[in-house]
Amino acid sequence: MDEQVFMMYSVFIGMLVFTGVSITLFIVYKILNKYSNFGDSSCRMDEYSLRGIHYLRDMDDVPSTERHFLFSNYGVNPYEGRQHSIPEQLLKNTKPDDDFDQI
Amino acid sequence: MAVLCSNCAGRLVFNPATQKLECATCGSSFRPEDVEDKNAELHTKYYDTRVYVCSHCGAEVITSDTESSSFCVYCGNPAIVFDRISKEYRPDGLIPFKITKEEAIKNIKIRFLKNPIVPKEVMAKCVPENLRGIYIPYWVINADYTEADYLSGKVKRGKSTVTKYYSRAGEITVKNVPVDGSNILNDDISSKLEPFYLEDSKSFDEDYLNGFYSNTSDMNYFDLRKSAAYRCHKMFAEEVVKTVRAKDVKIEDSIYWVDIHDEPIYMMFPVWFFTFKYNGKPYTVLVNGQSGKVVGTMPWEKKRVVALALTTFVLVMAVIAMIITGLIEKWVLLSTIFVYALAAITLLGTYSFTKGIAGLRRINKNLKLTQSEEIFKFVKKRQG
Repeated sequence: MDEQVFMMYSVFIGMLVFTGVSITLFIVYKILNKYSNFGDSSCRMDEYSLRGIHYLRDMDDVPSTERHFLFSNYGVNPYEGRQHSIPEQLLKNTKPDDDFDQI
Repeated sequence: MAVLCSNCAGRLVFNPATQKLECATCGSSFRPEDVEDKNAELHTKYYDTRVYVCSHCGAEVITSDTESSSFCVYCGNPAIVFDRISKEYRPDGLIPFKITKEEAIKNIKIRFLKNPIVPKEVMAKCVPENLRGIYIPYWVINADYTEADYLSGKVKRGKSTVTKYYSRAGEITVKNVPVDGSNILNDDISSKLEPFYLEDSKSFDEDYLNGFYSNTSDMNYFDLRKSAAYRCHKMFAEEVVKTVRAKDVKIEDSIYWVDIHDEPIYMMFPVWFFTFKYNGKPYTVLVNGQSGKVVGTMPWEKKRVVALALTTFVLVMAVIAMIITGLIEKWVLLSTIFVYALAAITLLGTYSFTKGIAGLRRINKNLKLTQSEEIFKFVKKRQG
């Protein structure tokens, strides 16, 4: 058989087998997800907030300098200095070196 | 400490079906709020729990009940001895169990029925002895939250696909977000148990704990902020990704800040734990004790899954072969239409491959959470 034709048939069959394996993979995932994986969902933001997200910056197709700008602008805790009363139950478990300003 | 029946001094156990305390000896029933707390003055800040230790396996049983710890429910050994009375901070409230043990088993078994891949051995383990009702501590918080995200996504430009970058920053105020108050229980699992409906919550009364196990919060304020920030970040990120009009959107980098408002509420939420071992590995499947939602990933029988995959593969290949044969009969190999049809089949294959791999990875991740040794030990520590 001509080498070129052999190569063509090999690629052709390879593509078909790849498609077969991929579709099988997808079907197996669907089966496992249906019969084995339960309750794979958690509550979304709208469950806990009526107003949703208030966007402060919303830009598409940004230049490479954006990352630096974004994190220098929002890299400081906007709530710093706010004082709160902490329940005793939470204070009970506090270690001496805990710093509440760090997340 | 748990109170006794005023008619016969028998043991009172909370029944989720009737929402009443029932006496196992004389059958009397009482509403928890009607049962008099003789030590009410002492109980304003703390409540008492009994800690038992199993001298056989060393497990700890924490309960406010009077009799349920007469043997170690984990190893079945009666050599369980009372260790100490521990004073714990009273939670502000709790959601009583609404789902009975039988209903929880039924909910799990519904998943097993006609299930072709879950091993029969596991199905047989779904019995009352393997289910424990545990009140899990939660902090219900209100908070302000700010996040900035740098995202990437793939966009078609002509015949090629290019990666573009996006920036989003925003703030939000959230209300009544439950944050699991235990450092041991994985936050990714506990968040899946939601929603818990706070309308059903009651002021804390230890009588509701009768017949169940409980746990107290081992978090400090730092841990709570960390967990709250992570919980908000997951919800925020899910929303932000939806605003980007591109494919394969990924958050490349993000920064976030949370500010928890004053007085987070300390609550106890009801959860049924179904623990079992399969092939030497521990598994824990959870059932929300209020809504009945089942959370977890069941093990599957490898032989059956392999057989299923092989059968599927043969069927898929047969269908593809039929399509290709049909195409060859109509058009000569390498004609334009034939090549287009082949390209379409390959594209379908690529799509299925990507989706399949991503889905299997997610299932594997969930399976690892279900197989968590920590959660298994968490239950063991509470149940004995």
